[in-house]
Amino acid sequence: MQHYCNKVRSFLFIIAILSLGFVNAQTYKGVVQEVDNPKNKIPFAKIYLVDLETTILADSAGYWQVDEVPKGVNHLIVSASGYKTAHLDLDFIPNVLLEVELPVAHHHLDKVIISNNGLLHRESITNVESHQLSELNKIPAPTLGDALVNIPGVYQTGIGVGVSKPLIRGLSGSRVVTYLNTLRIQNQQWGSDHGMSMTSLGIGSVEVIKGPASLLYGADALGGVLYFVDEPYAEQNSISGFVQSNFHHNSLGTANQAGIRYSKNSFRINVYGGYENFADYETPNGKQVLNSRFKQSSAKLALGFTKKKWVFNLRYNFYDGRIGLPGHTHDSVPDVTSFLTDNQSRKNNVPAMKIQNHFTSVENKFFLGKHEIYLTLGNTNNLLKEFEEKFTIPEFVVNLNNTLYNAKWRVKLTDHIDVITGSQGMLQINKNGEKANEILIPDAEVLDVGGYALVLGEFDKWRVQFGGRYDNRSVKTMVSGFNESYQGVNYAAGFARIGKKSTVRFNLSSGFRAPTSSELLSDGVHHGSFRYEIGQPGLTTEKAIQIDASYGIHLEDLEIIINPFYNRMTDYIYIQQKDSMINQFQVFEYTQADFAQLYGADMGFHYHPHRAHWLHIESSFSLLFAEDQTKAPIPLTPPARINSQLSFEIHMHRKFKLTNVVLQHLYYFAQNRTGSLETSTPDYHIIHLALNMKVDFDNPLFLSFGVRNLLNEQYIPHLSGLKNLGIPNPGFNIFGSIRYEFNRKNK
Amino acid sequence: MKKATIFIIAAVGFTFASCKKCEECHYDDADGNEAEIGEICDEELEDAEANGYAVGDTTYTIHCEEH
Repeated sequence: MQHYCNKVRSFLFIIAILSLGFVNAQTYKGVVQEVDNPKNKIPFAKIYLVDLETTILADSAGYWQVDEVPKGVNHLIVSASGYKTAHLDLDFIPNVLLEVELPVAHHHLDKVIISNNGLLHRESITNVESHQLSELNKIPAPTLGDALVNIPGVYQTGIGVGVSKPLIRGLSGSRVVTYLNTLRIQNQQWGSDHGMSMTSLGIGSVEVIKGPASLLYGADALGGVLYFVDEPYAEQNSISGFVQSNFHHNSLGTANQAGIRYSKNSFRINVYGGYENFADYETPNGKQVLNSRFKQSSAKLALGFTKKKWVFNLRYNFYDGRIGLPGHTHDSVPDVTSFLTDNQSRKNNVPAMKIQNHFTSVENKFFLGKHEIYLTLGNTNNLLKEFEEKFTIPEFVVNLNNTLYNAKWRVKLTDHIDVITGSQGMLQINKNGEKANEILIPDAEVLDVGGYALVLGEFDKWRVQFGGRYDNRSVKTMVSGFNESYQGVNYAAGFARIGKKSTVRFNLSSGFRAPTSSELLSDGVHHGSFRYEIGQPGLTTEKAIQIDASYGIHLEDLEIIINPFYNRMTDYIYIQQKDSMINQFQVFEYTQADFAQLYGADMGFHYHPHRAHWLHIESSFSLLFAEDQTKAPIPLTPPARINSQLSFEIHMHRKFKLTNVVLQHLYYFAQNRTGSLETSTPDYHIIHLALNMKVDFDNPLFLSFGVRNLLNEQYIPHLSGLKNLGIPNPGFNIFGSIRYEFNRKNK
Repeated sequence: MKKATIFIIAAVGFTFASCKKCEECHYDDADGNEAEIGEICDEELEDAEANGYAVGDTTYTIHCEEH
């Protein structure tokens, strides 16, 4: 009884504390002004309160006001045209005018390659690549995967245009964890033909952690983390929206999106819808790749409100796609012409995958002085159907339902030290459909639970971090009686010195990955990859330790970064081709190597010369070596790559203006370090060009035209799933894009 | 307002209206030649894919994919 009474008291105490917080919040006022001349107030500056996900606009005299904000330190991003964007932690003190000062941008680097200000940077000492999607799409890409490869160290594998899987430093699939806001996404990512099944709809930015990051993101984050962040809500008390259409002539592809964002006091809502339809793509020799067509619909809803110390968000994402699987023929002696056609079509065909996703999350954030509490509850449901020969009867149907929680408590111990503790867990239920002709993975349940603690210190220019984590994964099947548990202990430690002109980072992190149910239990035909796959119930957990260092120089007009790394993996799980066939399919079996090492570097610079304010020159170089215990290369290692971009920014004072011209050159080196049954890949160049324009009405119209693969280069990426069939990537592709935006204040 | 309501109802109706699913199919006859069946739709297509396509006393496996 006493125990029960104590629980009730504790509960009432927490409610009382929360209530106090609600009562105590009040109005704060501030001003945005120039650093060198505080008398110069900056009109219409945009102030984004990161944790509260609230945007407010300063008035014509530079003054702003906000009500629903807890007392204490808040993280702000303040931007204004002609000034450098400021990221700052501002102490909100009642009855004090809060002054935010911005320096004039004489010749600013509008896109930095070393970012210290992404969402994940607050909790990670390692390099986090943080990019606005609009930056990655300066030359509009047909798919989200094509946009992501502009990030150094990130590549893509897949089948044609419709299936794209990101690789981070040579690792992909189950070794890369994808988050959409605070929700971890599960979509049978073990399969080489199972792409991201997401579109760019409503995505504002993406952040990438390269290398093991299990400490904060749990089991499986061995290769890295892709963290997609939704577009922010509309500015407070305003409504905004857009309609956008993209066209790609090569595959007669259209991608149409529309969205509306509304904010009234503490309530806000974003609603989006999109539809993409691509016919078979054309190779440089003018032939179409049969069945490379795909279509996908998506919708997104974000609904939130802020109540003083409480931020609430409900998010829902829907995706429905039918993706053709090229590389299929009935010819008894096939060659590349068996997979090509002269008739470009977008009609449903087989083989194909049909995918439907429902991602739902409920996020709660509480700000209680020195304490911050985050709690996300979510569910992801992925229904995958693979059609082989028949249109109405799938060969393979599997539903992956994942229910999860993500809880975090952050406390400021002193002015310099923060502690974060948290726990994540998920229950995955993998169930085969009754209509399926075949079963590849048996019905199974996977239960993950993990807890971690992390200490963050900030002393002047120095930041330090260390922490540890424990995880347990249980896998059990419904029929065969398989029931195993896997444990992982992980850690991360590092330091960074973030100066005005240079940044040094050093990080040691570990990761682990328990074998997936597909690696343990597969026994059947995988129609998406045209092979018979056999799992190994005796597999143990895969472990990795990475040393990552980086040195960056950031001057007014030049930025340089060098980021070497060494990732040592033990008990590395991979799928190996066997010398046998079952039901006319080549047999592949999962196996484990004692040791694998991946090492290399990402380097880059961004130059924006004093004497030519209109010019930006950027280039990055990605290099990776991957080998097993005998120093033999591991298959599917991406080749080295140089990605260079020239951007000519044009400032025209008229209604119709050319805003920039962007020229991109990609050079992929030859890959001659190949696995035992793998062929080498020659080097190739790709050039893309885009002209971006704006019609400057009250509601602006943005236009973009250009060409991808300007030289009509015939190439087959080393990582392409169609490489062994000799099917090249798309040739010359003219694209066009039009986007209409509006934004107005609510009455 | 009235126009907007009509537009929304039409859009929702169009979105959720079921489309007829038809495919051009053939089967390989006893001599190994392709015999065109023509277009088969909906339940008939599902039945032919599940149980085969009967021509006289013989039941054939049908193929509808584009080559």
